Amino acid sequence: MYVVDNAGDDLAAVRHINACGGPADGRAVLRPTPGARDVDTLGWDLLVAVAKPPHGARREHVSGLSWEYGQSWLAGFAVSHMIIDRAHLLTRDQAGKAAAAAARAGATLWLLWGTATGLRGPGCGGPPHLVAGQPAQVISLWEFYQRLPAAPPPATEPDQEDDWPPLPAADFPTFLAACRRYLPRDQFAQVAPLYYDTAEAADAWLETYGAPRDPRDGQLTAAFEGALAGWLRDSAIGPAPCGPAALVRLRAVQAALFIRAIVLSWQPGPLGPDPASRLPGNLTPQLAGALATTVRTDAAAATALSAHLNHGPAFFGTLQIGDVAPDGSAIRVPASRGRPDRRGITPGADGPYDQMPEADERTWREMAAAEPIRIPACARALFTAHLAYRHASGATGTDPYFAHPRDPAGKPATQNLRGAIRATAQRIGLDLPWMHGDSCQYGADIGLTRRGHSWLSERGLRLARTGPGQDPILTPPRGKPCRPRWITGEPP
Amino acid sequence: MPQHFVNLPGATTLPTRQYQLTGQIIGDLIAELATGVVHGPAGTGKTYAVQAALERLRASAAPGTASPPDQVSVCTLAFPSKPTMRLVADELLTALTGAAAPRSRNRFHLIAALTDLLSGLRRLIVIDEAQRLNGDCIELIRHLHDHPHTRFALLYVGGDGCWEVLSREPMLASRVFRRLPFTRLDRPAVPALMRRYHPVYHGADEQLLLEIEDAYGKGMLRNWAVFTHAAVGMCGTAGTDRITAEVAGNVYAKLGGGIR
Repeated sequence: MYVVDNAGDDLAAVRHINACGGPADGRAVLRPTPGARDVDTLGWDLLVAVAKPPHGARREHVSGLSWEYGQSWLAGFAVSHMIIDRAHLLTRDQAGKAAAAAARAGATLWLLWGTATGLRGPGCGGPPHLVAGQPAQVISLWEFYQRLPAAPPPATEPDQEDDWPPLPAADFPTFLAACRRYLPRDQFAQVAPLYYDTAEAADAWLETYGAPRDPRDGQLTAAFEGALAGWLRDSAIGPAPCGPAALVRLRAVQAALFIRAIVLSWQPGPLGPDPASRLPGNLTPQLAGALATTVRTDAAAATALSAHLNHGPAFFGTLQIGDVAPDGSAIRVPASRGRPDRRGITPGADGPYDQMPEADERTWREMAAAEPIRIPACARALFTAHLAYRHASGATGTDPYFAHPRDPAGKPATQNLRGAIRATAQRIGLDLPWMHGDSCQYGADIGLTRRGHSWLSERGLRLARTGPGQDPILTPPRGKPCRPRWITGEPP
Repeated sequence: MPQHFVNLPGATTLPTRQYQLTGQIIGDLIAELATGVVHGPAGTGKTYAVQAALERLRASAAPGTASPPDQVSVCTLAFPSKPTMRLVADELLTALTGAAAPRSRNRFHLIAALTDLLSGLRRLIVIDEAQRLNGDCIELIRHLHDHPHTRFALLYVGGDGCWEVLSREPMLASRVFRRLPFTRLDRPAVPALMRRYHPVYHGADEQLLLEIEDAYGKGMLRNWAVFTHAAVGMCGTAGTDRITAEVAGNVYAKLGGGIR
C-alpha cells in the first residue's frame, strides 16, 4: 500500500490517474462520492471503478451486494493496481473496506492523499486513521508517476473485412477452383494459404479424434458431432475475424471432411443477405465489453456462455466450479456427467412427455463434448469474475458454478439464469436465438434470418449422420415411379 | 447586450481592459475545459462583463450564424448564502435538465446523473457569487470537473472575499487556469471613460468629472451608473443635456450628500 503525497491537490495527479486506464488494463480508479461517509456508497463507487454503470446495481437489484460483486470483478479483471482519489476524505470504515478488497484481489493500493493534514507529523508514519495495522509507504507524486505509469493507448485494430475480396459463391468442391478462376493473383494468394492451413488443421484434428463412426452401423456418432461442433466453434470457424475468412475456413473444413466421407453441408439461404458474416463466433470483443458492464457476475457469465454456445441455460446448471478453468479460458463438462432430466422433455421425468426434441439432444452433445469449451480471451474475465464470486460465497470445486441466489443448495439455477440472461440481453440489445420460440425460426423482426438452437444450426450447418447418399435430408427419397395411365391402359 | 445597472438608457459599454480580457478568458476556458476565476469588489463590472461575453457566445452559436463546429452550452448558477452540497447538486441538475431533482435520489445517484449530463455536450458552468461556496460544495464541483467523462469549463465569479475563499482550497489553487481580478477604475482615466460612457458627460469639464469620481464614483462603475441615472433626470429638469456643477450638486443631495 502506498500513500501518495498530493498535498497541493495537483491537477496533474488527476490527469495522471485519468490516464491510468481501467479494469482492462489491470487498474481500477476509485473516486469516492463527495460527502458520502458510508460504506455502501463506497461500494457503489467500487462498482463504477470496475466499469459498471452507476445505476447498474440498482437496476439489477443487487444494491446491497456492491462490495461482493465489486470484489469479484476486481478478481475477474485481474486488477493489480487500485487507486483511490481523495483518500483523505475516507472514513476509517471506508478505507478499511477498500484496503481489504484490494488485498483480497492481490492489488496494490494507491491512496492519493490530497491534503497536508495527517500525512506527516511527529510519530505519524502515514495516514493516522486509515487501514490500521497495514504498512504504508508515503511517496511523492513524482514517484507515483514513475512507479505507476499511464496505460498505453488501446491498439486500434484495422477492419479486417475490408482486406478481403468478394468470394465466389461456389460450394466446397469447386470453391478453391472458383477462387483461382475469379480472383486476381494477389487476392488468391490471400485465400489459398488460409484454405490449406485450415484443411491441414482439420486433417490433424480428425487424426487426433480417431474413429468418428459407430462400428456397428457405420453412422457418425453423436459424440463426434458434438466434438466437431466444438472444434469448429473454438478453433476452426468461430475465431475467424470476419465473414470472408470464416467462409474460406468453412470450405476447407468441408473439403477435408468430405475426403473421409463426412458431409458437412452449409445452407446459406436462410442466413440473410450476408450469410458469411453469420459464421464467426458470437462472443466478440464488443459483446464481451458490453457484458462486462453487468454487475451480476452470474448474469454476465451465463449470457456470455449462452451467446458462445448458442444455447439456452437448460444445462448450465450441470456446470460445477471445478469445470471452469481458473483463468476462465476453458469449460469442461466431463462425459461421465449425467444429463439432467428435463420436465416434459426427458422420458421418465415429470410432466407430459411428448418427444425428445432433436434440438435438445444436439444442445447437450455440443455442451458435454470430449473437448473443453474454449472461451475467447476477450470474455475470460466474465467467467473468472463469477468464479471469484462463487469462491467468495464459500463454494468448493463440486458445487454448481451457477447457483440459485437465495437457495444455492436446494433450487436449480436454470429459471433464475433464464431471467437474468433475458434481462441482460435486453439491456445490451442482444438477440439470442433461443429466446425465440420455434414458431419464429425465421423471425421477420430481424430480417428473415435463421435462428437455430445449436451452434451448427444457427449457422446453417448440418452434419449428415449417415453419410452421402444415405441421409434423407441431403438425398430426399424419390417417389415411387409410376407410369402414366395411358401407358398402363387402366381406365382414367 | 446585458442590461446596465439600474437600466440606464443611453449608456454605452466601456471597453476597459478587464472587460476585454473577460471574453478572452472565457474563450480560453472553453477551449481547454479548464477552471477560471473572475473576482473583485462589488460594482466593478464583473457580472456585466461576464454576461456580455456569454451573450456573445450565445449569439455565435445561434441558428443561422457561422457557429464553430463544437458548440458550447452555457449554464449560469448562483447559490444562496451557505449552500449545502445537496443544494448545489440539486440546483445544477435543475439547471441542466430544466426539471427539479427528485428528492428520493441519494447523493450517489444524483452525482452519477450529473456526471452523465455533463459528459455529452461541451458546457460552460458559470457560478456567480462564488464566495458563498464552502469547502464541501467546491469538493463536489471539483469531483464533477475532474471526472474523466465530463466535459465542461468552469468559471467562478465572485465579489469581496471570493479569491480568499477559493484560494484557501488547495484543490483550486492548482486548477485555476485563468484568473482575472477586477479593480477600481484608475482615477486619471475616469474623465475620458465617462465621456464615452454616457452623452450626459460629453464635453464635461475634467475637473468636474474628477470631483464626481472623488465624491461618489470611487472607481466603481456601479456608483457611476447610479450617479448617471440621477444626473440624467436632473438634467431633464434643469433643461440641459450636459452635466454641470449645479446639476452635480443637486445629484449629490439626492444621493445622500455624496457620502459613500
